[in-house]
Amino acid sequence: MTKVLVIDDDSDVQEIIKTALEAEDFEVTGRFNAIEGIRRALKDPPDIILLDVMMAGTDGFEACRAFKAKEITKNIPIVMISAKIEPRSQKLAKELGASSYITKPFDPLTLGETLLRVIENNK
Amino acid sequence: MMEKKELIPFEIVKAARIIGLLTGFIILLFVYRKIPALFLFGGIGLAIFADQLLYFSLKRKSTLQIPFFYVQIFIYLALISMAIYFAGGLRSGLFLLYGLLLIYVAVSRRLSPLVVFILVVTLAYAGVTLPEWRNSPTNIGMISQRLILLFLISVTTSIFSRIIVGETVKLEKTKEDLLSTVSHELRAPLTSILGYVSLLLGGKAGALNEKQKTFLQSVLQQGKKLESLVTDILNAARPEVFLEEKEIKLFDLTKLIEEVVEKFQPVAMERNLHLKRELPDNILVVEGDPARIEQVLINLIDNSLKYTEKGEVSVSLEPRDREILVKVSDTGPGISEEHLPYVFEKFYQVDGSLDRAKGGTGLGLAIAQEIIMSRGGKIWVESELGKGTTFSFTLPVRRADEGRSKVRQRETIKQGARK
Repeated sequence: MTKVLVIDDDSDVQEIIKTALEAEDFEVTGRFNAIEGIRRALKDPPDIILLDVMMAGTDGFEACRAFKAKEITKNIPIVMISAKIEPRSQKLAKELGASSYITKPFDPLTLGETLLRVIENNK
Repeated sequence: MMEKKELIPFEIVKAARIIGLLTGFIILLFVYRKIPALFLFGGIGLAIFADQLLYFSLKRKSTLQIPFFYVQIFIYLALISMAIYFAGGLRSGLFLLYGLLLIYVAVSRRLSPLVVFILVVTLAYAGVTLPEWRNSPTNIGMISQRLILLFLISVTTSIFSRIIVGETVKLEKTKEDLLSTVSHELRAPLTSILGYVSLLLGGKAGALNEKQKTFLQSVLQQGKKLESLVTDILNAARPEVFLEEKEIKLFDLTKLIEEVVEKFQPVAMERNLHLKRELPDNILVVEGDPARIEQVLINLIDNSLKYTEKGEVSVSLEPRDREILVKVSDTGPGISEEHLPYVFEKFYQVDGSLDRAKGGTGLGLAIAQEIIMSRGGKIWVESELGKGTTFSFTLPVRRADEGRSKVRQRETIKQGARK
């Protein structure tokens, strides 16, 4: 089973992703802020990380940088998911090593497919 | 076909103003001896007044370019100096006209050109009153007093106008920040709404009956519409963010238009309109980010389809010398003359009540204009009430072509010289 870690401070988004992905045989773990998310990923590395950008405290970009700097999480593909739709944010995410960038609102029904493709390309 | 009513290009207006002022200046110079002084001043006043009138009546978004501004100012300066000279130099109260000119410079430019200009005015005034202060040095005191007065007036004006402009800029910035935040903040609830609706429609929370499905489809559709409006708002608030071109490349405009028109066919069919295209067979290459140009086409076609009740919308493409002309014409209600100059302004809606029924932010055309202007093109509108509206824009053809044609020209010249 593909293990997904969702880091987003919006409980609705967590719920939507969880419902969509669990129906497609993903194992979903949710965390509401970046620090908790990083802690969780270090303890139990997932196959892919879904990361929100605008969060209180440490934001998604910083978290992404942290993941890429740590040996354990360095090779886990990161998919940013954000309400920031500007090309600039997407460029920055790419520069920080994120594998993909999904803008909100997103279609939960195609999310699983996207994640599997990212994991496939990352191998 | 509708009557052609192309707006006069700004460059031609500029050229006309310079030529007009220069001609007036030369004529006055030649005939001053033959006409009474009063007519002379009248003539100068009239020339400046007509020039300003022309400027304000034809003023569009583009601001005056610096070289033109200086040429204009120096012609004014010459006219005023001449008037003072013929009106009796120091005795004349016409020196106050310098004050008006300085105020004009003060409100339109920064402080440093103003300081330079004050020096020039000082020289000019000293020049026209030369015989007077040469003969009696006491007059120098009077001249200095007057110049100091002018100096104080213009610097004060300049400072106040800077403060006012500064406030406006600040206000504009706050508005942009607000719009940008609003646009981002609206995405969060939209994400929840659209996300849950998609899940429900996808059967992730149990089976639905047909009616429930239809209702949720509507929620989804309207939600997506709301999403695109929110994107429009962000577009308008931070145009530079979206003008930032992701990839600049050479692409075939003919093909892009074909694709966009194809995408709109279902919409046209739904509205019982005929959407046709008149495209040349050949490839027409332009440079830019295809996604941005596509946005322009989408905005224009969407706009035309929205306002046309019956008839057709046609998209045509026509190569010209150095540019490509694209036209989107409709047989809609047309736009009245009083609204025409403002259609490209943000949030401008020709008819508030009509627009509410059609839905729209009044941003599509403003965005289209930003994109086309940033690529060095032009965009304009022609319309006749009851007949229809045509939106046109041009895009420069890629430079490689231009270079080649220049080479060809040079070769032709050489050949001509040899013969």
